[in-house]
Amino acid sequence: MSKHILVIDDDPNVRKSFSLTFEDSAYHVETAKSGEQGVEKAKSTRFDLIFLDLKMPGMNGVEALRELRMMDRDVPIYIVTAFHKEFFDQLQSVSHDGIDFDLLQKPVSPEKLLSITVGILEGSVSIGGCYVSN
Amino acid sequence: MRNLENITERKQADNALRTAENNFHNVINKNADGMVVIDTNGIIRFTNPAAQVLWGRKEEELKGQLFGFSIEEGETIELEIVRRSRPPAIVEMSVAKIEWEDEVSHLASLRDITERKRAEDDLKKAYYELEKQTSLLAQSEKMSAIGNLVAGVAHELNNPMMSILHFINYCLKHTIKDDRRYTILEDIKKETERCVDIVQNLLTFSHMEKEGEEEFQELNCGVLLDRVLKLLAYRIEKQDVIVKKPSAQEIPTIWMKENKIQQVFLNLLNNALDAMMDSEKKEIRIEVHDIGEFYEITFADIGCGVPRKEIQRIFDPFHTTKPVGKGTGLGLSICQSIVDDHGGKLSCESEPGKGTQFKILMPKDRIIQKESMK
Repeated sequence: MSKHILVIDDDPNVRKSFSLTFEDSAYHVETAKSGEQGVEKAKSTRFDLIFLDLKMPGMNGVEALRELRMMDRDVPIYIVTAFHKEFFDQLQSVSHDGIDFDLLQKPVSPEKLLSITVGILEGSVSIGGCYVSN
Repeated sequence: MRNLENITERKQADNALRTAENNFHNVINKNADGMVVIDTNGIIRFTNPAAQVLWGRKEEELKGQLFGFSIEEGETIELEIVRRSRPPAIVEMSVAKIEWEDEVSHLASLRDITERKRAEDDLKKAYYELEKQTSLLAQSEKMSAIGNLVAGVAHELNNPMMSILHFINYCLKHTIKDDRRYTILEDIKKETERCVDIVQNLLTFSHMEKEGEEEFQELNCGVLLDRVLKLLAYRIEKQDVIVKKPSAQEIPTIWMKENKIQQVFLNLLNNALDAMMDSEKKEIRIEVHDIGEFYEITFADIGCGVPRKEIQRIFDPFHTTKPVGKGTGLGLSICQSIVDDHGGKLSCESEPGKGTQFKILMPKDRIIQKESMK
């Protein structure tokens, strides 16, 4: 069964980027255009990996992260953002509350995205930031 | 009777003369200003106690000696008296023509203004320091405003750039290599990656002023240098400048505030590029040398150089040799403050028409930095 990835980002082109990059991969990508929609989708589907934007209208990434973690303690969540400094205090408080997440600085190249995804979902080793396929 | 009257008158006259002499000696001896009588040959004929104190010599040591300063009647001039085993005295001298022992002479009145001068110098230094700090603050506020603007724009660019990178990648994946468009797509990818780099560098630099309390960290100077050179790549290429620099292995790691030292590198390289605008040959040489407790980083250009009379002032705030609108005159003053803050030293050697060398001395040991910073 293919693994499920959820991408939550308010920018349609960023969502499209994720979809295109994973198009021919073994992974199924679902996208959500807001924090609220992402949380809703996570209620009905169990995702293996979540990419989450921070700066979004309505429910922002930090709020969405808290909601997502309440539903699933283990799913790897990557915050993909250009604005982590703006959200530094909020992220720090989330971290203090024991909520686990990783940070990825935008722009994330397709190569890096694939390397991280394969690394997490397949437990592969990445060398020098590039996924080495057999 | 007549004789008796004469004796009484003479005695009275003698008394009056003595009193006048006493008064004269009191005025001269108790005067706080030094008084020196100099004859027409420039020889000292008389000194009062205040003058003797000024020189730190007794009257008999001064009398008969050459005065040694030129005598200008009617003008008050400032001069420095060199003394034995004491710092020199700064005095204000005014001269009047007098008759001394029936000869034409000069009376020099010397007022000790050493303390006043020292206070004035201290005040001047404090004022200069205040001016420097004020200008640094103004510059820092300006940079902070620019930094916020740049950071905002750069962050907004990150989303579309990420999309472009992924779209090109998709197109590359679905285009056969023989297709002429394939290489063009590769070029688009390369250029987009360049944009990503530029934006990253802009972000790094825009954070410089905001992060006033930046921590010291041990960093490779080569990485910083490459980042700055990348940021200036357009200018370097456009001006056709050759940059010679040591390989990454030759460049050491140094304890520094990353953004601050980057700012210094950027400033010095920008200055070098400005200096070579009209040069026939254009070359920037960057060298790093290990000299005991310090690393010496040299930025040398073969540009127009700095005129000799300007070189003392190039680190002064607001001093600029660039045309209006081209420089604030703050760059080097800020660079010097930054290097000072690292316990280092920034110096400049220049020969007009041949080029300029800036040398940064950076302490190897963090302990030295801390001590120097105190």
